[in-house]
Amino acid sequence: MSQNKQRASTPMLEWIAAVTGLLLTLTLLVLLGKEALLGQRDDVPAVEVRVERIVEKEGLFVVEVEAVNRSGETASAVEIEGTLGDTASTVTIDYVPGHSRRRAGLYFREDPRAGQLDVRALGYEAP
Amino acid sequence: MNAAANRTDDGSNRAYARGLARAFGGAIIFALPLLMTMEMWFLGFYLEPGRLLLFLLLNFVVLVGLSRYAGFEHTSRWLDDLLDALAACAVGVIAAAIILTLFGVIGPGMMPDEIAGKIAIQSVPASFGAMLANKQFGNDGSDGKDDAGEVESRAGYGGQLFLMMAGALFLAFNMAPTEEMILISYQMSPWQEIGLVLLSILLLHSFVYSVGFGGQEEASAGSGPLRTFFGYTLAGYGIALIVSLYVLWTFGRTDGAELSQIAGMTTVLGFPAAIGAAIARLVI
Repeated sequence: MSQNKQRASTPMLEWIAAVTGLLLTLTLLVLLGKEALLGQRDDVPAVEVRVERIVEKEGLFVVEVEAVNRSGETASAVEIEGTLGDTASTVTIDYVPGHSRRRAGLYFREDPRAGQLDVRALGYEAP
Repeated sequence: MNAAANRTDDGSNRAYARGLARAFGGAIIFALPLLMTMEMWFLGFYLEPGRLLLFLLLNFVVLVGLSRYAGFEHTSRWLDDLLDALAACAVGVIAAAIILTLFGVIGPGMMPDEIAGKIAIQSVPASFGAMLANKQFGNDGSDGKDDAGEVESRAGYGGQLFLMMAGALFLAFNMAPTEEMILISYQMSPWQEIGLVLLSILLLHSFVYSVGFGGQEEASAGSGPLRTFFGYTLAGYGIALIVSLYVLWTFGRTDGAELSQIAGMTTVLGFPAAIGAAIARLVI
């Protein structure tokens, strides 16, 4: 029961700090462990692009797009293309991590709302 | 004014100038790696202003705490700590502004916002260095430091936690701006990340264990190795994780990221943060 005596003299702050540290470490290990056991290893990045909004600024039309990675794998150097009639604009996003989203913008001279705007991811590089 | 008064005036002025030179030296030594990091220049303008402001405020609080707990002597009054922290901030800002101007990172033709942001973010490590330089090497012992501080030559448990936090913050902040931090977490498998968590804890514990029993701490930390592990190592690692998460959030790395991604990044940044926490008690 010497353990109990020691505990009685333990300051409150030490309890709080130790328990916080323990909980955070366990949370981290659980999150990583879940990913290690349940995460799909042979997954491929699946990046879906959708138009967030279209803004007219200084005579240019900005198409704000959001790239959503529906897989657990990170895609890097993701090239995104938007086509409007026979004009195309592209942008490259450095990283779209697994299950995460990134934003980018495409510029057009004509109003994309008037024509048929199509956006998609062209490809990626394995990080 | 008589001759004697003049002499003491000269003496204290010279001592102050020496202290100031020391502070500038420390500021540049601590900030140099980041002053020469490209990502840090960009952070100045893409960081969210609110997060940058919060970070600067927290840095100030850390400086006040460092003034109180760092070094071999403890200051007696919070007013002194406040003034010390303000002086360190001033030195940090001026040192960062001079170096960034010499490097051509800031200059005429740039927006005031951009220049202010670039200087502000670099002033954080610089002010840290300015404070530590004066603390470590400035033991004149005659500038209003109290004797009670010398009796309790090491900070108490709260102070120890604070020092670990400061060390973790400094090293995490040094690493976080580079893209490699994120890239590393993308390259690692969850098993490797779990391994890194265990290594971080092991390293932190070996530092705590070998350093922790040098002085008065042995008495305050109790005798059980289990208690040292929970009270110092795990508490320290918890602090390192919180600091890492906070720094990642400040730099906008957590925006739009999924929970397991955030866990991975926190693990990677938590590694230097844990080492920073471990050596803080040695260095500071």
